[in-house]
Amino acid sequence: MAELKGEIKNLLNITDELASIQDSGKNPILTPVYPNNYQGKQVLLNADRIIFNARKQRSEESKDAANTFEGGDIHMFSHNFISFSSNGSIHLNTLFPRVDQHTNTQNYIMLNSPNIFIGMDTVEGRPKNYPTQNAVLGLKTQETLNKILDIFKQLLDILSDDYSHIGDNGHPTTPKGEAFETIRKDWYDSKGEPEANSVGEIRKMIKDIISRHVFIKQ
Amino acid sequence: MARVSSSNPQLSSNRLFNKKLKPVKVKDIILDGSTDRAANYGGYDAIGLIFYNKIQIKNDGLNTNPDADETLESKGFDGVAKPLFPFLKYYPLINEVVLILSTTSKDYLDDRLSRIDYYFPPINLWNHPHHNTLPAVQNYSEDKSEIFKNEDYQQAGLLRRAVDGEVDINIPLGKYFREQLNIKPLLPYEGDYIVEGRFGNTIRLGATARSEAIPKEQKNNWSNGTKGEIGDPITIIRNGQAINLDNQGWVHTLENINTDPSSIYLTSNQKIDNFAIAAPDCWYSFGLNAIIPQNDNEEAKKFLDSPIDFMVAEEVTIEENTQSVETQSVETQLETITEEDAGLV
Repeated sequence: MAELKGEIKNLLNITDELASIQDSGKNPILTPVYPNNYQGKQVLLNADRIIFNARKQRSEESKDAANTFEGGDIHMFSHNFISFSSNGSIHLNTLFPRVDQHTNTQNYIMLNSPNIFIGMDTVEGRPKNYPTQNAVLGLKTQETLNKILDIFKQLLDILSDDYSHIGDNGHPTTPKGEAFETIRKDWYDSKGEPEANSVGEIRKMIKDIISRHVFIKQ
Repeated sequence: MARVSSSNPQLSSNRLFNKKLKPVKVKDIILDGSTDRAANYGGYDAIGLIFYNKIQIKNDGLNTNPDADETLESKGFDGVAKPLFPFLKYYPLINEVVLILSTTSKDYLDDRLSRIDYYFPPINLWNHPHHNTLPAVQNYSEDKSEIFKNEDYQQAGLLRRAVDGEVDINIPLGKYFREQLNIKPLLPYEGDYIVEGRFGNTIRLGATARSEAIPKEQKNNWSNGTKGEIGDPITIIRNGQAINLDNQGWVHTLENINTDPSSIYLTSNQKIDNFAIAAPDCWYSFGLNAIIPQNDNEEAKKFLDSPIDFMVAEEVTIEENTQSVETQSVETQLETITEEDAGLV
């Protein structure tokens, strides 16, 4: 038997386990026994509706205390799976701040795992496989798009200032900077509204493209 | 070994019963400590106090009604009694029979002989959890010619065994207690410890019970598993019986996890194989082949470690004599050359 000695050991590497399943093409072994097939020590609660309610509220004193709340929690621990299944929907809600408060920095929902799957790939309309599309990192996307926009703006600068075309009659044309004047306008200070149909407008859109309330790990 | 003070234990027991424990019939009970009536007996201290009539001194002459005082309309009663146990309150209904014991009262320090009556839980006259009342039917029938025609009532077990479930005589069991003819006792198995409420709510401290001696219709659904042993403990708390049971309240019943109003099962080595899952199809994410996206750097390292694993042969089409021969994918083979071919010799 494993001896823990005060530390939680990673007894099962889920990623490796799932990967080996994928490689071997065998049926996965990480499947819990269906509730009415399980034989052993268990507690079944069965009713039309089940409520778990932890009623203790944070006291005024505890609001000033660092990081520790006493009571008012619901905790569930398991060695293998915690599963939620519903014929309908599953909602996770936290309290929002009052209307007169403009920030929401206290309450959150945390999903912490080496791998997170959202949704499943379907076969004939039925969930069948784990999803394979990768999520996109917001800041990396923002950085990449800004880089593209910078290069695009450099191109516009060259076209407007430094380059001459060969016209229809064979003579070089004079650069017409005013033709690119609007589209070249950037939005450096992040203040005010950018010019419509300009690089700055796209810059602002890139700035706003990321969520201020949803975060994913690198 | 316990000492027996009397040389004849049976005689001692009878003497105790005859002199100490007296059967009485409950006429009324105080369940509201705020009433004026309760105030006469100590207010909230009187909750659970019963008014009773003795049942062993009645004149059973055929021309009189020996139980005339048992109705609420009659003012008379023989005494009052409080619940005996502080930890167990099983309040009797009107016309249930309880044993009373006269012993020390709270006035004991002032008067060493002070005694009051305490009562035990109701006597199990009908061997039924719902109620065990024994009313004198003649008190509740408008037709007084029916006064002594209560044989059917008594023999049939409070009409509870009338298959059609009809009760013609309205006998109050309390001020609002509603008699439910379909309430059934819980079917016991050997060694079970069962606590039953009056309304189909039960606690069974039982075990896996698997035997050929148990009739098929009395087999339970928690003893079916292949691993369990007879005697593996199980505790079932059931809040009410299934609503689809018949009206034959004298026939015992079993817990049903799916149709009982609500229940808790604490198992040790049982399988509840009839447990109906609310969302049986929502098990998609289990039992799948997972594809874990690989880190790009790890992929690159794998390539550097073993490039051949990443080499894939392409399909090759060879045209020969205007005849196209399509080959299948072929494995790439490493080309080997001799030292002579390489010009080293």
